[in-house]
Amino acid sequence: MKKAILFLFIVLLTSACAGAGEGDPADIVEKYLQAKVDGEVDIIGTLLCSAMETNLERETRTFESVSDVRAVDMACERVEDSDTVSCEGKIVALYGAEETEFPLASYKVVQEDGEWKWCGEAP
Amino acid sequence: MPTAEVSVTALSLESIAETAAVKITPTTEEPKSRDIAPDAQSATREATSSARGFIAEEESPVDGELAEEVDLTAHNISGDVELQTAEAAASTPEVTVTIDLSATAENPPTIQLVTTPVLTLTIQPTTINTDTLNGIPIDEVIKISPETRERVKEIYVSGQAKGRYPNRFSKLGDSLIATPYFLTQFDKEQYNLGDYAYLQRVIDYFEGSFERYGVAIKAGLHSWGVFDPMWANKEWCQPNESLIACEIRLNNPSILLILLGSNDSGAPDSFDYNLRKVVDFSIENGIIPVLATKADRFEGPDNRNNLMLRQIAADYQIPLWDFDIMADTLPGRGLQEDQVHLTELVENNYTLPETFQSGNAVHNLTALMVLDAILQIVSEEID
Repeated sequence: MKKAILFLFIVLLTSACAGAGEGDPADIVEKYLQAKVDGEVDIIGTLLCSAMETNLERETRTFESVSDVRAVDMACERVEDSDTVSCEGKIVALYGAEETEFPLASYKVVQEDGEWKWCGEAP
Repeated sequence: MPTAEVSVTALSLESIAETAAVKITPTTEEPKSRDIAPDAQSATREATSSARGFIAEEESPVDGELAEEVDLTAHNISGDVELQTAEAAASTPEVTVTIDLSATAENPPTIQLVTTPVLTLTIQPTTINTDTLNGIPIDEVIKISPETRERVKEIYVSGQAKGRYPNRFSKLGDSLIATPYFLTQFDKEQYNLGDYAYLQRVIDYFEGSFERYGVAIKAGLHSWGVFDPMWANKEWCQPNESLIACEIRLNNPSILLILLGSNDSGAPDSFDYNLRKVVDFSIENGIIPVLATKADRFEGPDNRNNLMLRQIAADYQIPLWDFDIMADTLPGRGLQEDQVHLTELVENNYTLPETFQSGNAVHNLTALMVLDAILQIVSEEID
Protein backbone atom coordinates (compact mmCIF):
# COMPACT_ATOMS: atom_id res chain seq x y z
CA MET A 1 0.00 0.00 0.00
CA LYS A 2 2.81 2.37 0.91
CA LYS A 3 4.50 1.56 -2.40
CA ALA A 4 1.32 2.38 -4.28
CA ILE A 5 0.99 5.73 -2.54
CA LEU A 6 4.62 6.52 -3.23
CA PHE A 7 4.20 5.64 -6.94
CA LEU A 8 1.14 7.86 -7.22
CA PHE A 9 3.01 10.70 -5.53
CA ILE A 10 5.89 10.36 -8.00
CA VAL A 11 3.51 10.38 -10.95
CA LEU A 12 1.78 13.51 -9.74
CA LEU A 13 5.10 15.22 -9.07
CA THR A 14 6.34 14.39 -12.54
CA SER A 15 3.21 15.82 -14.08
CA ALA A 16 3.62 19.03 -12.13
CA CYS A 17 7.22 19.40 -13.20
CA ALA A 18 6.18 18.97 -16.81
CA GLY A 19 4.40 22.30 -16.57
CA ALA A 20 0.82 21.43 -15.79
CA GLY A 21 0.24 20.56 -19.43
CA GLU A 22 0.86 17.84 -21.93
CA GLY A 23 4.40 17.90 -23.28
CA ASP A 24 7.19 20.39 -23.16
CA PRO A 25 6.21 23.87 -24.40
CA ALA A 26 9.49 24.18 -26.27
CA ASP A 27 8.84 20.90 -28.06
CA ILE A 28 5.34 22.02 -28.91
CA VAL A 29 6.68 25.19 -30.50
CA GLU A 30 9.29 23.33 -32.51
CA LYS A 31 6.68 20.85 -33.63
CA TYR A 32 4.40 23.69 -34.61
CA LEU A 33 7.06 25.53 -36.60
CA GLN A 34 8.03 22.34 -38.42
CA ALA A 35 4.39 21.74 -39.29
CA LYS A 36 4.19 25.27 -40.63
CA VAL A 37 7.25 24.64 -42.77
CA ASP A 38 5.65 21.47 -44.08
CA GLY A 39 2.20 22.98 -44.49
CA GLU A 40 0.67 20.21 -42.33
CA VAL A 41 -2.79 21.49 -41.69
CA ASP A 42 -3.80 18.71 -39.28
CA ILE A 43 -0.83 19.18 -37.00
CA ILE A 44 -1.10 22.96 -37.09
CA GLY A 45 -4.78 22.62 -36.24
CA THR A 46 -4.10 20.59 -33.11
CA LEU A 47 -1.29 22.86 -31.89
CA LEU A 48 -2.89 26.23 -32.59
CA CYS A 49 -4.52 28.00 -29.64
CA SER A 50 -8.21 28.72 -29.87
CA ALA A 51 -7.64 32.46 -30.07
CA MET A 52 -5.84 31.96 -33.37
CA GLU A 53 -8.06 29.33 -34.92
CA THR A 54 -9.28 31.83 -37.48
CA ASN A 55 -5.72 32.04 -38.80
CA LEU A 56 -5.44 28.33 -39.52
CA GLU A 57 -5.46 28.69 -43.28
CA ARG A 58 -2.99 31.55 -43.21
CA GLU A 59 -0.66 29.60 -40.95
CA THR A 60 -0.89 26.55 -43.17
CA ARG A 61 -0.37 28.33 -46.49
CA THR A 62 2.17 30.94 -45.51
CA PHE A 63 5.01 29.26 -47.36
CA GLU A 64 3.14 28.02 -50.40
CA SER A 65 4.69 30.61 -52.70
CA VAL A 66 8.26 29.55 -51.96
CA SER A 67 10.06 26.26 -52.41
CA ASP A 68 12.56 24.09 -50.57
CA VAL A 69 11.33 25.40 -47.23
CA ARG A 70 13.29 24.15 -44.23
CA ALA A 71 14.08 25.01 -40.64
CA VAL A 72 17.76 25.64 -40.07
CA ASP A 73 19.43 25.38 -36.64
CA MET A 74 16.09 25.56 -34.88
CA ALA A 75 16.46 25.43 -31.10
CA CYS A 76 13.66 26.47 -28.78
CA GLU A 77 13.70 26.86 -25.03
CA ARG A 78 11.08 27.85 -22.52
CA VAL A 79 11.92 31.08 -20.70
CA GLU A 80 11.98 29.94 -17.07
CA ASP A 81 8.42 29.07 -16.05
CA SER A 82 6.81 31.66 -18.25
CA ASP A 83 4.43 31.25 -21.14
CA THR A 84 7.18 32.26 -23.54
CA VAL A 85 9.34 30.01 -25.65
CA SER A 86 12.39 31.57 -27.23
CA CYS A 87 13.70 30.11 -30.45
CA GLU A 88 16.94 30.47 -32.33
CA GLY A 89 17.57 29.58 -35.93
CA LYS A 90 15.59 30.41 -39.02
CA ILE A 91 13.37 29.12 -41.72
CA VAL A 92 14.94 29.26 -45.14
CA ALA A 93 13.14 29.05 -48.46
CA LEU A 94 13.91 29.47 -52.11
CA TYR A 95 12.13 32.00 -54.23
CA GLY A 96 13.33 31.32 -57.73
CA ALA A 97 17.06 31.11 -57.30
CA GLU A 98 17.04 33.51 -54.41
CA GLU A 99 17.11 32.41 -50.78
CA THR A 100 14.63 34.03 -48.47
CA GLU A 101 15.03 33.85 -44.71
CA PHE A 102 12.56 34.03 -41.86
CA PRO A 103 14.37 34.40 -38.52
CA LEU A 104 12.71 32.64 -35.63
CA ALA A 105 11.53 34.64 -32.64
CA SER A 106 9.95 34.21 -29.22
CA TYR A 107 6.51 32.64 -29.10
CA LYS A 108 3.65 32.61 -26.66
CA VAL A 109 2.23 29.33 -25.42
CA VAL A 110 -1.01 28.78 -23.55
CA GLN A 111 -2.61 25.84 -21.87
CA GLU A 112 -5.91 24.62 -23.17
CA ASP A 113 -7.53 21.44 -21.86
CA GLY A 114 -4.26 20.55 -20.20
CA GLU A 115 -2.22 20.83 -23.37
CA TRP A 116 0.22 23.44 -24.51
CA LYS A 117 -0.69 25.37 -27.61
CA TRP A 118 1.24 27.75 -29.84
CA CYS A 119 -0.36 31.20 -29.69
CA GLY A 120 1.63 33.61 -31.83
CA GLU A 121 4.71 35.68 -31.18
CA ALA A 122 5.52 36.79 -27.66
CA PRO A 123 5.89 40.45 -26.78
CA MET B 1 -17.14 104.65 -74.79
CA PRO B 2 -17.30 100.90 -74.80
CA THR B 3 -14.42 99.00 -73.40
CA ALA B 4 -13.73 95.35 -73.13
CA GLU B 5 -11.84 93.22 -70.72
CA VAL B 6 -10.66 89.96 -72.10
CA SER B 7 -9.89 86.89 -70.11
CA VAL B 8 -8.58 83.88 -71.90
CA THR B 9 -10.41 80.76 -71.01
CA ALA B 10 -9.26 78.42 -73.70
CA LEU B 11 -6.38 76.66 -72.11
CA SER B 12 -5.85 73.56 -74.08
CA LEU B 13 -4.00 73.48 -77.32
CA GLU B 14 -6.88 71.76 -78.99
CA SER B 15 -9.44 74.34 -78.07
CA ILE B 16 -7.16 77.21 -78.99
CA ALA B 17 -6.51 75.67 -82.34
CA GLU B 18 -10.19 75.31 -83.06
CA THR B 19 -11.66 78.47 -81.59
CA ALA B 20 -9.86 81.03 -79.54
CA ALA B 21 -12.71 81.66 -77.17
CA VAL B 22 -12.59 84.76 -75.07
CA LYS B 23 -15.00 86.12 -72.55
CA ILE B 24 -15.76 89.81 -72.69
CA THR B 25 -16.87 91.75 -69.70
CA PRO B 26 -18.07 95.32 -70.02
CA THR B 27 -16.27 97.54 -67.61
CA THR B 28 -15.85 101.19 -66.85
CA GLU B 29 -12.23 100.78 -66.04
CA GLU B 30 -9.96 103.23 -67.80
CA PRO B 31 -7.86 101.57 -70.40
CA LYS B 32 -4.19 101.42 -69.76
CA SER B 33 -3.41 102.78 -73.22
CA ARG B 34 -5.33 103.86 -76.21
CA ASP B 35 -4.81 104.38 -79.86
CA ILE B 36 -7.70 106.44 -81.20
CA ALA B 37 -8.30 106.80 -84.93
CA PRO B 38 -10.51 109.97 -85.05
CA ASP B 39 -11.57 109.65 -88.64
CA ALA B 40 -12.93 106.17 -88.19
CA GLN B 41 -14.36 106.98 -84.78
CA SER B 42 -12.87 103.84 -83.53
CA ALA B 43 -11.16 103.14 -80.37
CA THR B 44 -8.52 100.79 -79.52
CA ARG B 45 -8.66 99.36 -76.16
CA GLU B 46 -6.05 97.48 -74.40
CA ALA B 47 -7.41 94.87 -72.16
CA THR B 48 -5.50 92.81 -69.78
CA SER B 49 -6.21 89.46 -68.47
CA SER B 50 -4.29 86.96 -66.49
CA ALA B 51 -3.13 83.84 -68.12
CA ARG B 52 -4.21 80.97 -66.04
CA GLY B 53 -3.59 77.34 -65.53
CA PHE B 54 -6.35 74.83 -65.13
CA ILE B 55 -6.48 75.21 -61.38
CA ALA B 56 -7.27 78.88 -61.55
CA GLU B 57 -9.68 78.32 -64.38
CA GLU B 58 -12.44 77.53 -61.96
CA GLU B 59 -12.07 80.83 -60.17
CA SER B 60 -14.45 83.70 -60.82
CA PRO B 61 -13.40 85.83 -63.70
CA VAL B 62 -11.73 89.13 -63.04
CA ASP B 63 -13.91 92.20 -62.56
CA GLY B 64 -17.32 90.71 -62.29
CA GLU B 65 -19.63 88.47 -64.17
CA LEU B 66 -19.21 87.39 -67.73
CA ALA B 67 -21.53 89.30 -70.02
CA GLU B 68 -20.84 87.66 -73.28
CA GLU B 69 -18.86 84.82 -74.66
CA VAL B 70 -17.38 85.46 -78.08
CA ASP B 71 -15.93 83.06 -80.54
CA LEU B 72 -13.13 84.99 -82.21
CA THR B 73 -13.21 82.95 -85.37
CA ALA B 74 -16.89 83.75 -85.79
CA HIS B 75 -15.97 87.44 -85.73
CA ASN B 76 -13.17 87.10 -88.21
CA ILE B 77 -10.59 87.78 -85.62
CA SER B 78 -7.28 86.45 -86.68
CA GLY B 79 -3.71 86.73 -85.68
CA ASP B 80 -0.83 84.77 -84.33
CA VAL B 81 -1.25 83.12 -81.02
CA GLU B 82 1.97 82.53 -79.27
CA LEU B 83 2.13 79.96 -76.57
CA GLN B 84 4.93 79.85 -74.14
CA THR B 85 5.86 77.22 -71.67
CA ALA B 86 4.95 77.73 -68.05
CA GLU B 87 8.57 78.39 -67.27
CA ALA B 88 8.91 81.07 -69.89
CA ALA B 89 5.60 82.62 -69.01
CA ALA B 90 6.57 82.96 -65.41
CA SER B 91 8.55 86.07 -66.24
CA THR B 92 5.63 87.62 -68.17
CA PRO B 93 2.57 86.47 -66.34
CA GLU B 94 0.13 88.84 -68.00
CA VAL B 95 -1.42 88.73 -71.42
CA THR B 96 -2.02 91.85 -73.38
CA VAL B 97 -4.58 91.78 -76.15
CA THR B 98 -5.21 94.83 -78.24
CA ILE B 99 -8.67 94.89 -79.73
CA ASP B 100 -10.23 97.29 -82.19
CA LEU B 101 -13.82 98.02 -81.30
CA SER B 102 -15.76 99.97 -83.89
CA ALA B 103 -19.39 100.64 -84.48
CA THR B 104 -21.15 102.51 -87.23
CA ALA B 105 -24.65 102.36 -88.57
CA GLU B 106 -23.48 100.46 -91.61
CA ASN B 107 -21.08 98.34 -89.77
CA PRO B 108 -22.36 96.76 -86.60
CA PRO B 109 -20.01 96.28 -83.69
CA THR B 110 -17.32 93.76 -84.30
CA ILE B 111 -14.17 92.89 -82.61
CA GLN B 112 -10.95 92.91 -84.52
CA LEU B 113 -7.38 92.64 -83.60
CA VAL B 114 -5.63 95.67 -85.03
CA THR B 115 -2.20 94.79 -83.93
CA THR B 116 -0.46 91.52 -83.93
CA PRO B 117 -2.13 89.80 -81.07
CA VAL B 118 0.20 87.90 -78.85
CA LEU B 119 -1.44 85.81 -76.20
CA THR B 120 0.94 84.56 -73.62
CA LEU B 121 -0.73 81.70 -71.83
CA THR B 122 0.57 79.92 -68.83
CA ILE B 123 -0.18 76.36 -69.66
CA GLN B 124 -0.39 73.67 -67.06
CA PRO B 125 1.46 71.14 -69.19
CA THR B 126 -0.49 68.01 -68.52
CA THR B 127 -1.54 66.50 -71.77
CA ILE B 128 0.74 67.84 -74.44
CA ASN B 129 1.62 64.75 -76.44
CA THR B 130 1.36 62.77 -73.26
CA ASP B 131 -2.23 61.68 -73.17
CA THR B 132 -1.17 58.37 -74.59
CA LEU B 133 1.69 56.05 -73.84
CA ASN B 134 2.83 53.60 -76.48
CA GLY B 135 -0.43 54.37 -78.23
CA ILE B 136 -2.58 53.54 -75.21
CA PRO B 137 -4.73 56.32 -73.75
CA ILE B 138 -3.52 57.01 -70.25
CA ASP B 139 -7.02 56.90 -68.84
CA GLU B 140 -7.19 53.25 -69.88
CA VAL B 141 -4.16 52.53 -67.76
CA ILE B 142 -4.86 54.81 -64.82
CA LYS B 143 -8.48 54.14 -64.04
CA ILE B 144 -10.06 56.65 -61.72
CA SER B 145 -13.79 57.12 -62.08
CA PRO B 146 -15.66 60.11 -60.65
CA GLU B 147 -16.81 57.85 -57.83
CA THR B 148 -13.22 56.85 -57.21
CA ARG B 149 -12.22 60.50 -57.02
CA GLU B 150 -14.69 61.02 -54.22
CA ARG B 151 -13.58 57.84 -52.49
CA VAL B 152 -9.96 58.92 -52.71
CA LYS B 153 -10.81 62.23 -51.11
CA GLU B 154 -12.70 60.53 -48.31
CA ILE B 155 -9.84 58.18 -47.53
CA TYR B 156 -7.33 60.99 -47.73
CA VAL B 157 -9.29 63.15 -45.30
CA SER B 158 -9.65 60.20 -42.96
CA GLY B 159 -5.91 59.63 -43.17
CA GLN B 160 -5.11 63.24 -42.44
CA ALA B 161 -7.22 62.99 -39.30
CA LYS B 162 -5.00 60.09 -38.30
CA GLY B 163 -1.88 62.13 -38.98
CA ARG B 164 -0.72 60.45 -42.18
CA TYR B 165 2.03 62.22 -44.06
CA PRO B 166 0.46 63.60 -47.25
CA ASN B 167 3.71 63.41 -49.20
CA ARG B 168 4.62 59.80 -48.53
CA PHE B 169 3.65 56.57 -50.18
CA SER B 170 4.53 52.98 -49.34
CA LYS B 171 5.09 49.92 -51.46
CA LEU B 172 3.61 46.49 -50.80
CA GLY B 173 4.73 43.61 -52.93
CA ASP B 174 7.11 40.86 -53.86
CA SER B 175 10.35 40.49 -55.79
CA LEU B 176 8.89 42.33 -58.77
CA ILE B 177 9.42 45.52 -56.84
CA ALA B 178 12.23 44.37 -54.56
CA THR B 179 14.60 45.81 -57.09
CA PRO B 180 16.52 49.06 -57.53
CA TYR B 181 14.78 49.42 -60.89
CA PHE B 182 11.41 50.06 -59.33
CA LEU B 183 11.00 53.82 -58.82
CA THR B 184 14.26 54.34 -56.94
CA GLN B 185 15.83 56.18 -59.90
CA PHE B 186 13.52 59.12 -59.33
CA ASP B 187 15.14 59.87 -55.99
CA LYS B 188 18.60 59.27 -57.42
CA GLU B 189 18.10 61.66 -60.33
CA GLN B 190 18.69 58.81 -62.76
CA TYR B 191 15.99 59.90 -65.13
CA ASN B 192 15.01 62.27 -67.89
CA LEU B 193 11.27 62.77 -68.14
CA GLY B 194 11.38 64.15 -71.67
CA ASP B 195 7.86 64.97 -72.82
CA TYR B 196 6.56 63.89 -69.44
CA ALA B 197 8.29 66.73 -67.61
CA TYR B 198 5.04 67.65 -65.92
CA LEU B 199 5.53 64.59 -63.73
CA GLN B 200 8.44 66.32 -62.04
CA ARG B 201 5.92 67.71 -59.57
CA VAL B 202 5.21 64.15 -58.43
CA ILE B 203 8.89 63.40 -57.98
CA ASP B 204 9.31 66.59 -56.00
CA TYR B 205 6.24 66.06 -53.87
CA PHE B 206 6.92 62.47 -52.90
CA GLU B 207 10.68 62.91 -52.61
CA GLY B 208 12.18 60.13 -50.55
CA SER B 209 9.40 57.61 -51.09
CA PHE B 210 10.72 56.41 -54.43
CA GLU B 211 14.04 55.23 -53.09
CA ARG B 212 12.59 53.76 -49.93
CA TYR B 213 12.00 50.01 -50.01
CA GLY B 214 10.23 49.86 -46.68
CA VAL B 215 9.35 46.68 -44.83
CA ALA B 216 6.36 45.64 -46.90
CA ILE B 217 8.41 44.26 -49.78
CA LYS B 218 9.66 40.70 -49.59
CA ALA B 219 10.68 38.23 -52.25
CA GLY B 220 8.12 35.49 -52.60
CA LEU B 221 5.42 37.45 -50.82
CA HIS B 222 1.93 36.33 -51.57
CA SER B 223 -1.34 37.53 -50.21
CA TRP B 224 -1.38 35.10 -47.27
CA GLY B 225 1.96 36.45 -46.11
CA VAL B 226 0.80 40.04 -45.84
CA PHE B 227 -0.81 39.46 -42.45
CA ASP B 228 1.46 36.70 -41.16
CA PRO B 229 3.93 38.23 -38.67
CA MET B 230 6.47 35.63 -39.71
CA TRP B 231 6.92 37.54 -42.97
CA ALA B 232 7.59 40.79 -41.15
CA ASN B 233 11.09 42.15 -40.78
CA LYS B 234 12.17 41.12 -37.27
CA GLU B 235 14.68 43.93 -37.09
CA TRP B 236 12.07 46.64 -37.53
CA CYS B 237 8.72 45.14 -36.70
CA GLN B 238 7.19 44.34 -33.35
CA PRO B 239 6.09 40.89 -32.19
CA ASN B 240 2.85 39.79 -33.81
CA GLU B 241 2.99 42.76 -36.15
CA SER B 242 2.33 42.04 -39.80
CA LEU B 243 4.54 43.61 -42.42
CA ILE B 244 1.76 45.88 -43.63
CA ALA B 245 1.00 47.16 -40.13
CA CYS B 246 4.71 47.58 -39.53
CA GLU B 247 5.18 49.56 -42.74
CA ILE B 248 2.32 51.88 -41.86
CA ARG B 249 3.70 52.45 -38.39
CA LEU B 250 7.17 53.20 -39.70
CA ASN B 251 6.37 55.29 -42.76
CA ASN B 252 2.94 56.69 -41.97
CA PRO B 253 2.01 57.11 -45.65
CA SER B 254 -1.09 58.45 -47.38
CA ILE B 255 -0.87 56.09 -50.34
CA LEU B 256 -0.15 52.36 -50.59
CA LEU B 257 0.95 50.91 -53.91
CA ILE B 258 -0.16 47.27 -53.87
CA LEU B 259 1.61 44.95 -56.28
CA LEU B 260 0.63 41.39 -55.48
CA GLY B 261 -0.62 38.41 -57.39
CA SER B 262 2.39 36.88 -59.07
CA ASN B 263 2.87 34.43 -56.20
CA ASP B 264 -0.81 33.71 -55.72
CA SER B 265 -1.49 30.91 -58.08
CA GLY B 266 -3.99 28.13 -58.00
CA ALA B 267 -6.18 29.58 -55.29
CA PRO B 268 -8.32 32.37 -56.72
CA ASP B 269 -10.68 32.44 -53.77
CA SER B 270 -7.79 32.98 -51.42
CA PHE B 271 -6.34 35.79 -53.48
CA ASP B 272 -9.65 37.56 -53.66
CA TYR B 273 -10.23 37.11 -49.92
CA ASN B 274 -6.78 38.32 -48.95
CA LEU B 275 -6.67 41.25 -51.34
CA ARG B 276 -9.93 42.53 -49.98
CA LYS B 277 -8.45 42.24 -46.49
CA VAL B 278 -5.47 44.28 -47.61
CA VAL B 279 -7.69 46.95 -49.14
CA ASP B 280 -9.92 47.02 -46.06
CA PHE B 281 -6.90 47.38 -43.82
CA SER B 282 -5.52 50.21 -45.92
CA ILE B 283 -8.80 52.13 -46.00
CA GLU B 284 -9.40 51.62 -42.29
CA ASN B 285 -6.04 53.21 -41.70
CA GLY B 286 -6.78 56.19 -43.90
CA ILE B 287 -4.36 55.15 -46.63
CA ILE B 288 -5.37 55.30 -50.28
CA PRO B 289 -4.86 51.82 -51.73
CA VAL B 290 -3.75 51.62 -55.35
CA LEU B 291 -4.19 48.21 -56.94
CA ALA B 292 -1.76 47.36 -59.72
CA THR B 293 -2.26 44.67 -62.31
CA LYS B 294 0.76 42.71 -63.40
CA ALA B 295 2.41 41.78 -66.65
CA ASP B 296 2.96 38.09 -66.00
CA ARG B 297 0.54 35.20 -66.41
CA PHE B 298 2.09 33.14 -63.65
CA GLU B 299 -1.24 31.91 -62.33
CA GLY B 300 -2.30 30.73 -65.78
CA PRO B 301 -3.30 32.03 -69.19
CA ASP B 302 -6.78 33.08 -68.07
CA ASN B 303 -5.30 36.12 -66.34
CA ARG B 304 -7.59 35.53 -63.39
CA ASN B 305 -5.58 37.48 -60.83
CA ASN B 306 -5.61 40.62 -62.92
CA LEU B 307 -9.32 40.21 -63.52
CA MET B 308 -9.75 39.92 -59.79
CA LEU B 309 -7.67 43.02 -59.14
CA ARG B 310 -9.81 45.01 -61.56
CA GLN B 311 -12.98 43.76 -59.94
CA ILE B 312 -11.80 44.59 -56.44
CA ALA B 313 -10.74 48.08 -57.53
CA ALA B 314 -14.18 48.62 -59.04
CA ASP B 315 -15.98 47.23 -55.99
CA TYR B 316 -14.08 49.46 -53.61
CA GLN B 317 -13.92 52.43 -56.00
CA ILE B 318 -10.20 52.79 -55.53
CA PRO B 319 -7.54 53.68 -58.12
CA LEU B 320 -6.50 50.96 -60.53
CA TRP B 321 -3.05 51.05 -62.07
CA ASP B 322 -3.68 48.70 -64.96
CA PHE B 323 -0.15 47.93 -66.08
CA ASP B 324 -1.31 44.71 -67.68
CA ILE B 325 -2.67 46.82 -70.53
CA MET B 326 0.66 48.58 -71.00
CA ALA B 327 2.45 45.24 -71.03
CA ASP B 328 0.65 44.43 -74.26
CA THR B 329 2.65 47.21 -75.92
CA LEU B 330 6.03 45.90 -74.80
CA PRO B 331 8.27 43.27 -76.39
CA GLY B 332 7.65 40.02 -74.54
CA ARG B 333 5.17 41.90 -72.35
CA GLY B 334 8.15 43.64 -70.79
CA LEU B 335 9.19 40.46 -69.03
CA GLN B 336 12.55 38.85 -68.55
CA GLU B 337 13.16 35.24 -69.57
CA ASP B 338 11.68 34.04 -66.29
CA GLN B 339 8.34 35.45 -67.48
CA VAL B 340 7.77 37.14 -64.12
CA HIS B 341 10.19 39.97 -63.54
CA LEU B 342 10.26 43.09 -65.68
CA THR B 343 13.07 43.99 -68.03
CA GLU B 344 15.39 46.58 -66.57
CA LEU B 345 17.08 49.84 -67.42
CA VAL B 346 19.47 51.61 -65.10
CA GLU B 347 18.27 55.06 -66.10
CA ASN B 348 14.73 56.04 -66.95
CA ASN B 349 15.52 58.25 -69.91
CA TYR B 350 12.20 58.99 -71.55
CA THR B 351 13.81 60.87 -74.41
CA LEU B 352 15.01 57.56 -75.84
CA PRO B 353 12.66 55.30 -77.81
CA GLU B 354 14.13 52.15 -76.26
CA THR B 355 13.06 53.31 -72.82
CA PHE B 356 9.46 52.86 -73.89
CA GLN B 357 10.20 49.23 -74.63
CA SER B 358 11.52 48.45 -71.15
CA GLY B 359 9.19 46.80 -68.67
CA ASN B 360 10.50 48.59 -65.61
CA ALA B 361 10.85 51.98 -67.30
CA VAL B 362 7.25 51.98 -68.52
CA HIS B 363 6.14 50.55 -65.19
CA ASN B 364 7.85 53.45 -63.45
CA LEU B 365 6.38 56.07 -65.75
CA THR B 366 2.87 54.79 -65.23
CA ALA B 367 3.53 54.72 -61.49
CA LEU B 368 4.29 58.43 -61.65
CA MET B 369 1.08 58.93 -63.59
CA VAL B 370 -1.09 57.20 -61.03
CA LEU B 371 0.58 59.14 -58.23
CA ASP B 372 0.04 62.34 -60.19
CA ALA B 373 -3.63 61.54 -60.67
CA ILE B 374 -4.07 61.02 -56.94
CA LEU B 375 -2.05 64.12 -56.15
CA GLN B 376 -4.34 66.20 -58.32
CA ILE B 377 -7.38 64.80 -56.53
CA VAL B 378 -6.10 65.32 -53.02
CA SER B 379 -4.55 68.68 -53.85
CA GLU B 380 -8.07 70.07 -53.64
CA GLU B 381 -8.04 68.97 -50.02
CA ILE B 382 -4.50 70.23 -49.46
CA ASP B 383 -5.45 73.65 -50.79
